[in-house]
Order: sequence, then C-alpha cells, then structure tokens
Amino acid sequence: MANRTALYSTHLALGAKVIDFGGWDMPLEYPTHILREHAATRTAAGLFDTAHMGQLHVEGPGALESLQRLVSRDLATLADGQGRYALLTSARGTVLDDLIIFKLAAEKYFVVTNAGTFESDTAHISANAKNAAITNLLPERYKLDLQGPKTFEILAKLSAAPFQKLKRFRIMAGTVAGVPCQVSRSGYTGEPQGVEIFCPKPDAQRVWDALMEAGAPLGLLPCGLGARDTLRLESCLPLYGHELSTEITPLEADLEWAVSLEKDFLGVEALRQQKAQGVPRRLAALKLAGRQPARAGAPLFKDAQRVGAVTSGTFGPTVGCAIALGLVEAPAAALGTALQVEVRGSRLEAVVVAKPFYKAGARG
Amino acid sequence: MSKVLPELKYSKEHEWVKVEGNTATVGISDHAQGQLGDIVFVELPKAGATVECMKTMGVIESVKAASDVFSPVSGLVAAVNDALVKAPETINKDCYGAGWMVKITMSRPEELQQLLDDKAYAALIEEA
Repeated sequence: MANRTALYSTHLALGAKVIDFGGWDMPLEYPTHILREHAATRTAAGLFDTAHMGQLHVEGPGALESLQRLVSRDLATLADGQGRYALLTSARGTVLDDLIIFKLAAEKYFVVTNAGTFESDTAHISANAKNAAITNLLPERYKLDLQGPKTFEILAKLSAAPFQKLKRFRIMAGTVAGVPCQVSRSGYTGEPQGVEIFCPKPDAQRVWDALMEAGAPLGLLPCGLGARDTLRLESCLPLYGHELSTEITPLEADLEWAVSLEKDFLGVEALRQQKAQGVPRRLAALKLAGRQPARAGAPLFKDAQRVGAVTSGTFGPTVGCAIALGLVEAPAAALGTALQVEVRGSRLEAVVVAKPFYKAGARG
Repeated sequence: MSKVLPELKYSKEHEWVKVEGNTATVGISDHAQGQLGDIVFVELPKAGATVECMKTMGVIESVKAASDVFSPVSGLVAAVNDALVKAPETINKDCYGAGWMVKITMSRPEELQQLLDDKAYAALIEEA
C-alpha cells in the first residue's frame, strides 16, 4: 500500500481526487479543481499538505563539513536561522536531489528533501558523514505549505510571532494556533509571500484546521499537487525526476547560480570540466503559441533537426497559454529561438523565453 | 453526483448525443468533464469532415492529461462549436448546453441503437 500523510482522511473528506506521487497517496486537486486552486494561491492563499517531503537533522561537530562535501553551495556563510537552496550531487556532477538546508545553530542543520529521494539522500549523507548524527524527523514532524499574498495576514490571526519579518529562506520558531512550529519563508510556488510550516505531527490537524478557519474568509483554498505543479512550472522551478536527475548536471539545468565551483564537493571536478568545455545542453523555458500543452518527453525540433525533449509541460493559468521546460542542445536554448514541439503527431510552434514565465507583481 | 439527462443517449466513452431528425449534437458528459478536471484545450474536426462511429474525432486536454474524443456516430460534421477554442472551460461549466462540441449529419442512424440510454449510462458510471 502507498504511503499516506496523517491528513489523508481530511483530504478525502474534502472531496480530493487522490493520485500516487512517488509512492504517496496525495491530493491532486479538490472539488475546486486545479485552475481555481492555482488562482487562489496567486491572488489570496493556498494551503498544501507537503508532509510527504523529507526532513533531516544533521548535528554534531562534523555537521557542516559533512554537508559541505556533498552539496553544491557554500554552507559556511549561513547565519543562524538562514537557509539555502542546494543540489546534492553525484561523483559525475549530476543531481541526486535538490534540497533546502537551514542552519539552525552551530553544529545543527535542518535539511528538507524531496519525497521520493529522501531514503537515498539519507543513506548518501549518512555514508559520507563524519562526526555528525543524521536524524530522520518524519516520525514526529509534519509540513504544510501556506503560499500567496495573504499568507502573513492569515498567520497574524493565529500567532503573535513576527513571521512577516522573515526574509526569504529564513526560518524561525513560533506558535501557530498555539502549536510550536518552525516557519520558513520558502516554498515552491514562486509567490514571494509564502511559508513552509513545520509542526509536530500530532498537531497537524489542529494547525490545518486553524489555517483554514482563519484563511477561508480571506480566500484561502486547500490546494493539491496539480496546482503545485502549474504554480512551480510558471515560476520555472525544477522538479526532481524531470528537470533534475542523475543524468542531468546543475549547469545543464540552468542552475549555475546554485553551484559554487570554487568549493570542493562531490562531483565538482566534472562540473568544472563541463563549464570549461562548454555546457552541451541547456534547460530552456518554452512558450507555446496556443493552449494545447506539450507533456514531458515530447520531442523538440529546430527546423527539422531534433534538438531535445520537453522535461515538463502544462497549461500556465496565470500566463494563459501552454508552457514547458525542455532540455535542448545549447545553441537551441538561446532566447528567442523558434522551436517546434511534437504533440500527438503534429508540430506546434514554441519560442524560447526568459525565465520565469510568471513573476509576482509583474502582470502582463 | 454526476448529472445524466434523460433525453440524451450516451456512448461508453462518455459522449452524449442529442438526436433531432438526422442531426446528432455531441458533447461529453458531466461525469467525463468532472473526471478530466479543468479543460484547457479542445481540438475538434472541421465542418465538412467525415467522422466514423467510435473512432477518435478530436482531443480534449485538461491541465494534467489528454483525452481522446470518439464520435458516437458516423457521418458528416455539419457544425463545430468554435467558441470552445477560446473558452474550452465552457465544457466544464455547461457540458450539456453551451459546451456542445459538434453537430453531425448521420449517415447510419441505426448506430444510435448501440448507444446507452440514461439509465444504462448512469449504471455504467456508478460502477466506475
């Protein structure tokens, strides 16, 4: 049987359509459906059950050193309460996972991973850790994502903690509806106002109910993985297994900003070499001419030449047309390049555009 | 509870048919539009095209997936609901009314016998 989060029956009671995601039974959408849930997150707020994702503590005198050797960003400059997006890399410089790593205190790091890769990430970090204890937090901890312009207004109804003062990727302790939580200003929707709420698992229902009660009058909707995907794709955020994998490097995935090539970490040699020789493939953002979506795997052509394939594609509700990310030969990834994507036997027109497709505050 | 209108006929592929003389108006059922979720794109045959019973005549794309549309009867496409190009969500909002897809001049009206009445269709979706 697939894994289920503690709030599974709540989602069923709300009428969620459930799908399998990486071995987890998760809500795809509620009766509100994907487009309304997406719109609510962009204009009011959306509440997402993301407790399937991994959570680890890495603690001890060797915690920093152990993580430094395995991830693509320099963690030494993290302040207490500060987090950073980083890639966990293989010896070939390809991606094992994308993570957010928070420094909670000296010798205490909090790592959030993807759901399907949590087990392998834990094994990999444990195998390479020295003088550091790795603790799986999931037996005790839950995660809920609250995202959208009304996020802090909703939290203010449930807490005196100054969550609205959190800068991006900062984490702080505070209560939500009387429940002690860690709250980080982070998320996967491209909304600048948004938090991930880490609470004790037994209190998850209480926090969910309190957020819904406080947020519903402000337009808060529970949102499923369907909206999570349209939101992140509009914001060009990568999804492990699509834009990132053990066959793709962070440089190919256009995540050069998340790679500190001057640092020594597993796989950095391969990445330095790839950069020196010229990155052969690039992840491009594609705007299609019409509404018909291109899906993952759809071949991409430049004139008659096949140049790559779509890694993720959908209809972008806020931008109003089909959008996709595709991994293509580097020259085909240049801004403005006209490409064709093969969908159900027809070639549809697409153009390489700047990322992201949607930026909060810039409607157009 | 999905709506099933008693005056219509239904295919096993969840299309509905409204018969007026020799013309069959076709759309997809409330059950189908609910299963698909938000519809973002519809591709339909052009007026004048020939369609064949239970062969694909178009596609409906929702946010998450593509779904073939089958023609419940054979014949000639007499009219196409072009409004669906700009507003495919009309199918979600009003699948039996404004969400109609094509009107077909039937070449073999006896094919209507193979379709389900409202009770048989309701039973079919109950089992699903």
